[in-house]
Amino acid sequence: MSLLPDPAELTAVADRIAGHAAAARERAIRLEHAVAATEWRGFAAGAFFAEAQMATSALRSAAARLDTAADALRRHAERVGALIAHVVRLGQDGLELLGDTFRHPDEVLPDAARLAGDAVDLVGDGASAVRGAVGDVVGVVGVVRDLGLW
Amino acid sequence: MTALAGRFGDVARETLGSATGLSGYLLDPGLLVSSWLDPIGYAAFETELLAALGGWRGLCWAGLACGGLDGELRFAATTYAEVDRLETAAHDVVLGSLLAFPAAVEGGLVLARTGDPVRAAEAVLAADPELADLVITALGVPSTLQALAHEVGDGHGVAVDTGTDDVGAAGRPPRQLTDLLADLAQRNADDRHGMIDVRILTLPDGTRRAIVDITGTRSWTPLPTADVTSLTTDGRALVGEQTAYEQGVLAAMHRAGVRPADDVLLVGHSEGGLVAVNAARDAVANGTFNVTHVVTAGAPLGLIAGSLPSSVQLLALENERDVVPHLDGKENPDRVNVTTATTEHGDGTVTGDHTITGAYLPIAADVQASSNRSIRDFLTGADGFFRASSVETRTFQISRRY
Repeated sequence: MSLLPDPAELTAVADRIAGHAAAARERAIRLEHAVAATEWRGFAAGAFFAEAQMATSALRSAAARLDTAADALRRHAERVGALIAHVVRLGQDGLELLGDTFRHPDEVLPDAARLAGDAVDLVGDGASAVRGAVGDVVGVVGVVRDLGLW
Repeated sequence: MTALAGRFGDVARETLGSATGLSGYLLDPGLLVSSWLDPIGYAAFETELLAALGGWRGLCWAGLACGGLDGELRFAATTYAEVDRLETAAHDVVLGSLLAFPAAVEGGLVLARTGDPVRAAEAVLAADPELADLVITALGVPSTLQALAHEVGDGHGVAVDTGTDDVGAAGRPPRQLTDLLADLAQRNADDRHGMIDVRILTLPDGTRRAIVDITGTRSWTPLPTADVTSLTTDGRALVGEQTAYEQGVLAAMHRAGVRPADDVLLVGHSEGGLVAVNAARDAVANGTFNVTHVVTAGAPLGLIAGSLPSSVQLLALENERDVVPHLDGKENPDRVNVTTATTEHGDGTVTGDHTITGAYLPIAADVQASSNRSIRDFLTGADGFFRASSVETRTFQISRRY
C-alpha cells in the first residue's frame, strides 16, 4: 500500500456510496407504490400506513445522508489531490535548485524564488484546506448532535 | 398481506446488505491513508457515513424498520387466517347443531310413519346433507374408496363410435344451461353403460366449439369389470387420478374430430363430473385440447376442483339435498375459476335428489335465472357455446380393457 493516497480511488468510492443512496431511494419508491396499491381500511390499517411511512421516509433520510457522505469524500479527494500535486512540485523544484547550485550557480536565485512560490502555494492550499475543514467541522458538529453524542 | 410482507422483507435484506457493505469503508485502509493529508476532511466524511449507516433514521434503522413490518404483516396474516378458520369451525358447529336437531326429528317422524329405517335415514340426510360430510369423513369413505379402487386394476379406456344422434336435445344447438343438462339427461337415459357424446358446434361466423357430455356411475361393482362407470373409476377420480374412463373420453374427442384450437366445454353428471374435471386438467396440461369450461351436476369435487388450471372455468351445480356431492367430505375450494351453485330440488329420496331430470334440470333453470355475479360471469364467458347455428352430435360408448 502506498503512503500517498489515490484521489481517483477516493472519488470512485464516493460514486459507489452515491449509488447506494440512489438504490435506497428506489426501494422507498417501490415500497410506497406497493403500500398505495392496498385498499385496507380501519384502525390497524392506519397504524400500518403510519409505520410504513416512517420506514420509507427513513430510507429517504438515509439516502440523503449517504449523498452528504459521498460529497464530503469528494471534497476530501479534491483537497488530497491538490496537496499531493503541490508536494510533488515542491520536491521537483527542490531537486532542481540543488542541481543548479552546483551546475549553474547563476540560476540559483530564480530557482529559489520558484521554490519559495511553491511553498507559498502549499501554505495557501493548507490554509484553504483549513477553511474548508472549518465548514466540515460545523457540519460534523451538526451530525454529532443528530447522533445524540453531544 | 403476505405478498406485501415479502416486499418489506426484500427491502430489509437489501438495505441491511447495503449497510454492511458500506460499513467496510469506515475502516478502509485506502481511505485511512488519506487522513494524514486532510485529517479534518477525512473525519468529516467518516462522521457523515457513520450517521448515514448507524444514526437515527439511517440505513440500518430503515432496514430494521422494514424487517419489523415484514414480521408484523406476516403475523397479522397468520392471525387473520387462524381467526377465519376458527370462525368457520364455530359457525359449522353452531349451524350444524341447529340443523341436525330438526333433521333428527324429521327422520324420527318418517320412521314412526313408515317403519322403514332406510326411508328415515334418507329423510335425515335430505333435511341436513351436511351431516353426510361428517359421517362420510368419520367413516373414512374417500380414503376407503381410493384404497379399494387401487386394489382393482383400471386397465385402459376404449371408445367405440356408436353413430350420430340428431334426436331431441342432441339435434339442436344449446341456447342455455338447461339445454346442456337436457342433452346430458338424454345420454344418461341410454340403457348402455358408459355412453358419452361429442358435439361439434358451428357458429354463424364459421368458428367451432365442442361440447362433451359424460354420464355417471351405472355399475356398483367394486370388482374388475369392462364397465368403465364402476366404483373403480369413482375411487380413483375422486382423488384426481387419471382413469380409463377419462382416457376413453379423450380418445372419443380425437375420433370425433375435436381440434386442439377448438374451445371445449365438458359436461358431467356425478362420476361423469369427476371425469370431466380430471380430463379438463390433463387435456390443458398436455395441450391436447383447449378445454375452457366445465359444468358438473351432483359431483363431489372438493378434492380435485382446486387442481384445475386458472384458464378453465368450472360451474358446479349441487343440490342442497343431494348426498353425492358430499362423498368427498370436503367443500369445493374457494377459487376465482370455481363457481359452486347450490339450490334445492328433488323428491327427498337419496336417488331422487341426485337425478338429472328430477333435481339438476330444475337447478340449472334456477342458475340460468340467477343474477349472482359469479354465475353471470361464467355464463357470459361460455356464451360462445350457446350461439351455434348448427350441431353434429356423435355418440360413443366407453369401456375398459385389461
